[in-house]
This record gives sequence, structure tokens and C-alpha cells, in this order.
Amino acid sequence: MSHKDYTCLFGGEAGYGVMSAGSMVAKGANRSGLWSFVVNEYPSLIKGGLNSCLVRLSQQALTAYEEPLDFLGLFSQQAFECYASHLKPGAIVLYDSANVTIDEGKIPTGTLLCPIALLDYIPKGSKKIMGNSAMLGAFSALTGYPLPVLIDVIKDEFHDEKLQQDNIEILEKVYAYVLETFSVEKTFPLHFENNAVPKMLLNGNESISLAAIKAGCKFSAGYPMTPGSSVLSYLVDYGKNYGLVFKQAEDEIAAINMLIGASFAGARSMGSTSGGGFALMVEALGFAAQAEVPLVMVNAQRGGPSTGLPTRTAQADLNFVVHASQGEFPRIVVAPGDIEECFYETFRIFNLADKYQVPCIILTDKFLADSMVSQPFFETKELVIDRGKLFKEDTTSYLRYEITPDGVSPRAIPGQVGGRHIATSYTHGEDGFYSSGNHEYALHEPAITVAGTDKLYNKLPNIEKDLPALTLHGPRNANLTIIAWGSTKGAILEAIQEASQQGLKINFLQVLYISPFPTAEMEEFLQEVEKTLLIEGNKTAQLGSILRAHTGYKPDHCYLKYDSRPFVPSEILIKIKEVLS
Amino acid sequence: MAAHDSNLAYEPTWCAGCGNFGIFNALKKALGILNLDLEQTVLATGIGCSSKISQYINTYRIETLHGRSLPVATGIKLANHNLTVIAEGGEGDGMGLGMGHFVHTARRNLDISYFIHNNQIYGLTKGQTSPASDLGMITKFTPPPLGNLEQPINIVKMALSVGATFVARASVANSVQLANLMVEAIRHPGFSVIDILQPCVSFNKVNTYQWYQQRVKPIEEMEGYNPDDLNAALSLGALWGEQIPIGLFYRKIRPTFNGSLTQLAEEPLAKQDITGLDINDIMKQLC
Repeated sequence: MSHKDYTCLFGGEAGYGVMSAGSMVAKGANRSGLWSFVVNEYPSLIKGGLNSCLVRLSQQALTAYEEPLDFLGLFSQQAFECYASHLKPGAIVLYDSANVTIDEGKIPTGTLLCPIALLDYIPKGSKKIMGNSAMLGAFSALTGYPLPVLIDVIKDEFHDEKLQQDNIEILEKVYAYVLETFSVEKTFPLHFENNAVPKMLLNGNESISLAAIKAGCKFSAGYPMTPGSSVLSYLVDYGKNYGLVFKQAEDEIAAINMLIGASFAGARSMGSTSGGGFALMVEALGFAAQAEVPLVMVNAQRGGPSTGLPTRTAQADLNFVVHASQGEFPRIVVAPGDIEECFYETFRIFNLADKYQVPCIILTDKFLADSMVSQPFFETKELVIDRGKLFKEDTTSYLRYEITPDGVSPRAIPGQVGGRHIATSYTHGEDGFYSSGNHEYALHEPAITVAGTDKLYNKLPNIEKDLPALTLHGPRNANLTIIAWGSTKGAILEAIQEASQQGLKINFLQVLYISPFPTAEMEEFLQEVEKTLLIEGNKTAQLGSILRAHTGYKPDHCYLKYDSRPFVPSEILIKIKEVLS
Repeated sequence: MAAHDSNLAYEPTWCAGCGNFGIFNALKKALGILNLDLEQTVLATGIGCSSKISQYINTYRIETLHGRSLPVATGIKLANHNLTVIAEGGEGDGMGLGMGHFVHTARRNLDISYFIHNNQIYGLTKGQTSPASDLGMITKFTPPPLGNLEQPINIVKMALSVGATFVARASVANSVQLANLMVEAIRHPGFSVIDILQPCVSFNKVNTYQWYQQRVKPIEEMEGYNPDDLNAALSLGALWGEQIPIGLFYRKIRPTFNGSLTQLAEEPLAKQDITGLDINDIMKQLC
């Protein structure tokens, strides 16, 4: 596409460190004024299988990746079979000569082939993961990627001095060998800057965790489930200096109930899981809603149903998450589209959870959770904590669930003098008592039920005002409007940018907050659209069904992808042209 | 804080003669003896007849989901370790849906107390088999001639096996012992469990007050019994049937989960200032 970019991919069995090789290349570039987009693909295996790490580099900020490769580094035959067809003309293929045989019929003519016995460079008795240093040394020599940049990254990566030296030694040895053997004299096609402005390189889960820490999250509980659980490990790692407690629970049911307990006791709390774990949490989601205990939960989607595809992406939990639980109650569901939104919307949602005392769900997916992107530092000065209505100790005759015009009642935290009350999963009156069965309430049950339900829904008008639910990207008027949510954002943005350079007038309506659904705003917008294309990572057009339920509108075209892999801009552009023709 | 302060104006909905009244009174008595600050005390219950106790007692309370009192209590204790946290519920709630939580809460020795109202039947759903129903028991879901085909869970044995550090059994008919055990359990720094035998006057016509009274045998009357000895506790705990020991089976001081966390050495999580937290160091690490 129009970006001046360079894409390399490292592939091999799990255990060879292809993902760390890729992330080191990205990190070095990131430090040198370039922008990186890193996509990992891996099966649910500890050893073997095919792991790949694609690194796209550019002089400009990147929001997506493309599959065509300028460089392919191979540790295994399977990696060759899988990615040979992605090679651009004139690409470089570096491969472990002991394990890979190249079938030249499968690659473009003019491909530079570089067989190297990569594993021979690993000192005897060392782990094969050091093969990635051999790979990087050769990569640097073959592509012109500056060697000192990689050495700097390795120095930071390995804290053990011996390990650091061993890796640098391998790197330099292979580098020298390659220069000698292949007589390549390459200049890397992108410019490396010295003393560039620092940027972060982080993935969606890291961004969410960072925001949670900034928002004062002090407690987390969870059960490991890919791709949601790295939020939990980042909270453990980064939360260390902030007094955060993480409790690994016996199951997801325990995890969410621990979060509810901690939140009831006054600590900001967040959990993270994927669809299967979220399914186990559903009963307690309703409990949080009924008891009006603030709750923040991340669901990083993977393929489903059931165990599904543990390490692959999907956008098929939307309907589930928006409707999960028996009964009726308002909830907030946000679907961040990129790393930046992961951060700012997570911070916002902690405030919203406290302010409205409703369950809040951050819906991401494996692609967003796991892909690393260059990102300037987040602006944190303007971020202000809002704990919502809290009980003041001088209040007389406190009612925890007092009916108020905006549906929100002051929350007393255990330990506060005069705030004793019962928080409950039962339908209840203003004082929290169960309305069914108690003699005192028996005659009023219908009235209490209506008042309690209306109380929850009276929160909606203010919630809606607080949510930046829709974002329009591109021109106000367009011949085609793309409607989408979540991690498809980046690929769509690049596709419409390319489309506009080709003279097409396309815009993109991003639905950032899906529940409560921004009906009025959406209806107003839809009056102006000419033609629409809905893009989603599922089979049944789930946002489409929600859109239709709330507005009666049916998009003109759909681009639905449910092959377990992310969207790329070029395919979206093809779809755009198809529906416009 | 006076004991009477723990009363609320609402009238319990338990059946006349229900064992829950006795447990309710014993709990109020224990809170009084301990002179606990009720503002600093939280009761987390599950769902069931016994769990309704949280509707009637004037501490901070949270009536959770069926089977989930322990994880909620865990969250509360970790968020504010200065609170006295008690979990309560029936044996169906705790040994059915809640069994996983029971096992794991015990092995982590969190400093909370768990009082299990054990009437060997499901009451609120009107008479189904409970995990503690005796073999052969006729219930709505296990009709004659076979009755219940599964071995009952012996809560004391279970608690001892999974690492609870204070394990007792009481009978609601012995109210003084029950209240005293509650006092000891709440004082105990660690996960304390009391299996409280209580009749269900409406749905359990076998395990009545009389049935229990004919069988219970106070441990304190057993000469030379030492509650420090886990093996002795396990073999005494195995007794169930013609003789049912009541009293303190086992007590052991072990490090608590909450006490071991350095994050909880000082200010509770819930009281930490969260305004203006600086994350620049992490952002720099990510470069």
C-alpha cells in the first residue's frame, strides 16, 4: 500500500525464539525513529508447531500490517511452506540450512536465498532459543538493518551478563560470516535516526494494564486463559510498585466473585479472561449489576465456540457479551480499536464503573491483545479519578439503594461509620432487603420490583451522555461508509486512506461503545449515508444485528471474516472497490 | 459496640423451630462477647435459608450468589484486611456449588471464618438431597426404595484434609458451646471452619433435634484429646453416625495468605490514595 514500509517475518517451531527475534527488530527500529507493527501467530503448543512473528516497519505511524514480505527468516520447513507464497519479488529468504529445503518453484524468481547453518553458531550445551541471535546477525547483514541497534536491544533484553555476551558473540559471528559469504552490500530502505524521540512498543493487553494501574486498580483476580491472561501478568509485573494484589483463583467463577468482594470493600478491581472464562463469569456479572457493585472485566476474544481456537483472533463474542446474564440491566461495553483506545477507554471505564455502579466490559480480541505497536507516551496529566457518589459519614438514615433521579445511590464502603447495609443479589428495596418473603415487604413486591428495575435503567441517560460512543473517521460525506467495531479499526483506516489517495470518497463510522447502544446518534448519522459496508470478524454480522435491532437499519454490504486471522488493509480495499463498482 | 446493636428490625422468615434461629442468636452473642466493631465487620453469605442470616444482622453484609460466599469474602479481606470477615451459608451452598472455593480458601489459609449451617437437606428449594445427606436418605429427588446413593460429605474431615487451620463442629442445641466456638473461630488468625449441625423442621424428618442430641459427644469431655494433633483430629473427624463428636477438632497457627502479602503490610488496598499515580517509569520501560 502507499506506506514506504518494510515487512519481515521470522518463522519456526516454538522454542527457537522467533517472537523475541521479531520483537527485538521492532524495538530497535522503534528506538530509531521508525514505527513498528508486530503480529504474532502461534498455535496452542509449548514446543513444536509453527510460530511466526511478522514485523512491519515504516517511516510513518502504522495502524495495520500487510502480508507481503521483504524478508523471510526460517527455522523450519513448515514455516517455508506457509509463507513462501507471501514473498515479494526480490525478497530475501534466510533459512536454517540444516532444517529447511527450498523448493524454488514456490517462490518468485529473483529471490535472494541465503542458507546458513544457524544452529551451528550456538555454543554446545546452550539452548536452541539462542538461534534467534544467529538469525538476527544474518538478518542485519542481509538487509542492512544496523547491527549496533540490535546489540543495544540485546543488552537491555538480557540482564545476565554471560548470556548477553554469548548472544552478542553469536550475532557478530554470523554477521561477519554472512557479509563474507553472500557479498551483499545492503542499505536498509528505511532511515534509522540517532537520538529519536522515545516511543513505547506495547500490545493491547499491556496498554489496558497500564491504564488500570493509572486508574488505581489495586486488586485483580483471574484464571489463566489465552489471550486474556497476559493482562493479569502485566498487572502482576507492573503493579508491583503500586501495591496491587493479584490473586490467581481456582476458576473464573471465583475470580469474578473475588473482584466483586474487593470492589464492594472499596478497592478498584479488574479481571481479564477470554470467552470461555467469561461464560463462567456470567452469573456473577448479573450479581454485580443487581448489587450495584462496580466491576471492570476484559474479554479478549478468541475463536469459539467452546475451547475453539485458543491463540487465534475472532470478533464473535459481541452478542454474548452484550446480552450475557439472566434478567435485564444496563452495562457498559467498550470495544477499543487500537492501543491508544485500550489505554484511554480503560481509564475512562474505571471511572464509569464507579460513577454508575454498573458492570463494565472491555471487549478486545487476540489480534489487538497481542499485537505490538509503536506508541508515543500516553498523556496522563488530564486523567482524573472519579469515584462517583460515595456515602459521607455524617449521613443519617442511610439507604444503600436509595431511589434517586439519576438512579445512582451513594455507596458506603465497609468500615465507614453509619454506612452498614446489605448488598445483595436479590431484587431488593432501597435498604437492600429482599422483597420477596420478608413480611415487611410482602405486599409491596410488584412496586419494589418496578422501582428497582427502573432505578437501574434511570442511569442510562447520563451514561449515554458520558460515552464517546461513535467516531467518524474520514470525510463527513462519502460514497461509502464503513461501519465496524474493535480491532478492525487499524486496517480500515489504512484502507480508506489508500482509497482516498486513489480518488475514492470513503468514511468509517467506528462503534466504540456498543452497550448502551448509541441509538439516537446512530440514527441521525444513518440519515446521511449513501451506501454502507459492515466489516466484522464473525459469521453472523453481530454488530449488524444489534444495529438493526436498535435502528431498523440494515447495512447494504457486509465483509465478514471468520477464518481465525486478522483483517488486512489490502483485502478491505478490494472489498471497497467491489461494492462501489 | 453492644451486642443488641447487631439486631435489625426485620423479622426472620425461617420456619418456627428452625435451627437457623439458634445459629443467629449464637452469632449475635459471639459478636457481643468479642465486642466487635460492627462497622468493621462484614458477613458474606451465599443463597439458601441459612444465608438469609445476612438479612437480619446489623454488620456490613453481602448476600452473594449460591455457593459463592467464600470468593466474595476473599476479595473483601484482600481489599481491606483490617475488616473482620465472616462467611456463612448452608452445607448445600458450601459443599455443592461452593466445594471448589472451600478447598482453595482452606489451603490458602485466608484469615476469615466460615460457619456452615448443616441440616443435611435443601430447605429453600423444599427438600432435595444435600451433599451431606446420609446414605439411603429419602428426599424429593432420591425417592424410595433406594434413597440417596452417595456417601455424605463429612465437613470436618473435608476441612481437615484441605488445610483449614481451625476446624470445629457444633450443634445448635448446645448454644453455649456454639457461641464460644464462634468466638474462638473469629479470633483465630487463619481460615476457621465450624460445621454447625441444625435440624430442618420442615424437610428433614430424620436428622431432628433428638437425633442429633442422642449422638453428639462433646470433645472437651474426651480425656487427653489434643487439638494440635492433625492425625488425632482426622481419626476423630472420621466418626459419624452413632457418635458425632462436637467441639474443637483442630487448631494450628500457620502463616495466613493475607498476612504473607507484602502489599498488605500497611494500609489496606481500599484505603490507598489512587489520585495522580505516576506511570512514567513503566512507559519508559516499554521503549
